[in-house]
Amino acid sequence: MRTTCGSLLVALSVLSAQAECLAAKDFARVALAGGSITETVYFLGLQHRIVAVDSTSLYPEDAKSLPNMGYVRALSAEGVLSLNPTLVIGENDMGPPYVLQQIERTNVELVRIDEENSALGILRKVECIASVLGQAEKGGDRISSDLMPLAERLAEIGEQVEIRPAAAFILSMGDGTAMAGGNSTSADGFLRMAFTQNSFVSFDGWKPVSAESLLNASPEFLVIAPMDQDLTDTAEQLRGLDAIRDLPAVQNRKYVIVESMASLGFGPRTLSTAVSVAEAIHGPP
Amino acid sequence: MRKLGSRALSAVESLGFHWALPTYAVLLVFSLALALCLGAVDISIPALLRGTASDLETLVMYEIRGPRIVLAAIVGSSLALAGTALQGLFRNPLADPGLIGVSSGAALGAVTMIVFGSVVGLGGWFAPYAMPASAMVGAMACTSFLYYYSARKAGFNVATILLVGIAINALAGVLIGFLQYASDNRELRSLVFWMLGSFGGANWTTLIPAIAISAVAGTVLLAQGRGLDLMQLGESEAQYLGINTNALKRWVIVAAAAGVGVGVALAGIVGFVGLVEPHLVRLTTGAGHQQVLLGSALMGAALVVMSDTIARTLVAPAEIPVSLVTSAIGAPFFLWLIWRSHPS
Repeated sequence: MRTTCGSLLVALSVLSAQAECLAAKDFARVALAGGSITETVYFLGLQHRIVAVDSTSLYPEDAKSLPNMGYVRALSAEGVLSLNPTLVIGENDMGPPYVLQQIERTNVELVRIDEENSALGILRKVECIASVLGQAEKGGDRISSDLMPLAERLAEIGEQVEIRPAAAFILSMGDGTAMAGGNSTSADGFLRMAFTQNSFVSFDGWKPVSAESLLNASPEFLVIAPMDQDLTDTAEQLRGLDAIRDLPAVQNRKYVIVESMASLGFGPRTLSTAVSVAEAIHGPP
Repeated sequence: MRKLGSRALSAVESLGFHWALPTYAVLLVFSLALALCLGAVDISIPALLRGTASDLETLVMYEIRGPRIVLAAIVGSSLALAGTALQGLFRNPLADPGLIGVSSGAALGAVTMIVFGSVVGLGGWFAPYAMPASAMVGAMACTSFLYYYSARKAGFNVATILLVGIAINALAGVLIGFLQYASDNRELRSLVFWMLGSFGGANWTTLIPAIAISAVAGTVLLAQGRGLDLMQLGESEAQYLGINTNALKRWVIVAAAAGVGVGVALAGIVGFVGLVEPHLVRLTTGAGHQQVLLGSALMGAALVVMSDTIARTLVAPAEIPVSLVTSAIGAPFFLWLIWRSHPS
C-alpha cells in the first residue's frame, strides 16, 4: 500500500516537475546560483553560456575563475543585472526573496530548480537544466551514457540489502563541533541513497550534536564530510574530534569520509559518491 | 577685527548654527551624488536625464539603486539622531539606540513574524508591510516596557533605565535565540539576513511611510537641544532651570524608538552608527546639542550612504553586509577617540 502511494507520488512529481522545465526564451547568457547547477551545466558541456556563478560553485575548478555573484542566498539585484544575463538558474534556496522580485521585474528570466534529494531527483535535475537550456536531447544522451549506469549499479546494491543499517551523516566543522543531518535534509537523502537509515530523524534540518547524543543514537555507520578541509589529512583529525572519537562506528573503522559538495550537492557527482559509499557499507554487488 | 569676527561667529553659534554644519551638508550631497553614480550596473546619468537610457538602466536607477540610497540616508540619519539624543539624555557617551531595547525589540518582532507569519497567513495589500510593522511593534513594545517599568518601579532615574535596558536586551536575546533554534532552514535564512542588515530590499511601497515616520521622529529629537544641554548639569538641576525632565525623557525615548524602529524594520541591524556618529560630530561642533543633533542627522546620512556604496561596489557583482563596513569604520575610530581623550 505504501509503495503504491509512493509510486503515485513519484509519478505526480514527474508530471509537475516537467511542467516547469520548459526551454527558456533566451539562454545565451546564463547566471547560475548553486553549486550543483554549475556542476550540471559543465557536465552537459554548456559552460560557454555561463556569465556568472555563485560562491558555492566550487566544482569544477574552472568555475572558480568565472565572475562571482556572492553567496547563493545573498545575491545582489544590481550585481546580477550588471552581468547582463538573459537567464538566471538557481537552486531552491536562491535568494533573498526581495532580490528575486527585483530581478523578475526586468526582462531577465528566472528559473528555480526543484530540490529533490534522491537518485531520481539528480536525473531529473540534469534533465530539467538541459531542457531549460534548450538541450533536452543532449541531456538525455548524457544521462543514459553516464548517469544511468551509476543509478543501475546503485539499484543492484540495493537489491541485496535486506535490513538498512542505522547511519548518521556528520558535517564536521573543523573546530571540534559536529553537525548532524536530520529529517528532510540533503544528508537524509544521501543516507537513503546509500541504503541506510538515518539515526537522526527526531529533528528537522541540521543541528549541532553532542558526543552524548551521538553515543546514544550509536549509528552503525558514519558518513563524515569535513567542511573547508582537505580530504586526505582529515581521517586522523576526525578521530581526534571529541564528539565522535569514542563512537563504536569510529573505533571499528566503520566510517566513510566524503567531500561535502560531492555528497550533499545532489549534482551528477552525488550519484557516483553514493555508489562508492553504498559499496563501502554493503560491499560490492 | 578678529574679535569682531569671533563675536559674530559665536552669535551665529548661539542660534544653533555652526560652521561645520554647511560642511556636513556638502558632504551629504557629495555622498548622495557618488552613491547615485556608482554601482555594479554602469548608468550614464546624463543619458538618464535626457531619457535616452536603456530600460534596464532606468529600472535599476529608479527601482533598485534609488530607493536603496534613500533608505540608507534615512536609516543613517535616524540612528545618529537617536544616538546623540540618548547619549545626552543618559549623560553617557556609550549610550546607543540598542540600549533602550529598540534594536533587540525590533529584531524580536521581525523574527516572530518570520517564524509565525506563515501560520497567521497575512496576505493581500498588507503583505509587504507585515515584517516592518511587526518589527515596529516589537521596538515599541520593548521600549514602552522599559519606560513603564522604570517609571513605576524606580522613579524613572537614568541609571535604572540603563540597567532595565540591559535586562530587556538579554531577555529579547533569549527569545530570539529560542525562535532561531525552533525555526526551520528557510526561516533561519531570512532571519540571518535580517540580523546582518542590508539596504538591498528597499522599495517605494515601504519607503514612503518610513520617510514620514522618521521625519516626525527626527523633528521631535531636533527640538530637544536645549533640554538636553541643561540635562548635562544633572537631572534635578535641569528641573530647577525649568525643564520638565520627565517629558524630555518621554519624547526622546519615544522618538528614538520610532526612528530607529522603522530603520531596523526595513534594513535590519546596522551597527555602530548611533554610537560613533555623535562623537565624530562633537569633535568639530563642540558639545552644544543643537549643533550636534543637526550635524549628526547630516553626517549619519552621509556616512551610511557612503558605507552602503562601499558595501555594494567593493566586491561587485557580489556585495558585503553593510554592518561590516560601518563597524569597520566605526570601531577603530572609537578606539582612536578613547586614545585621544586619555593622554598618557
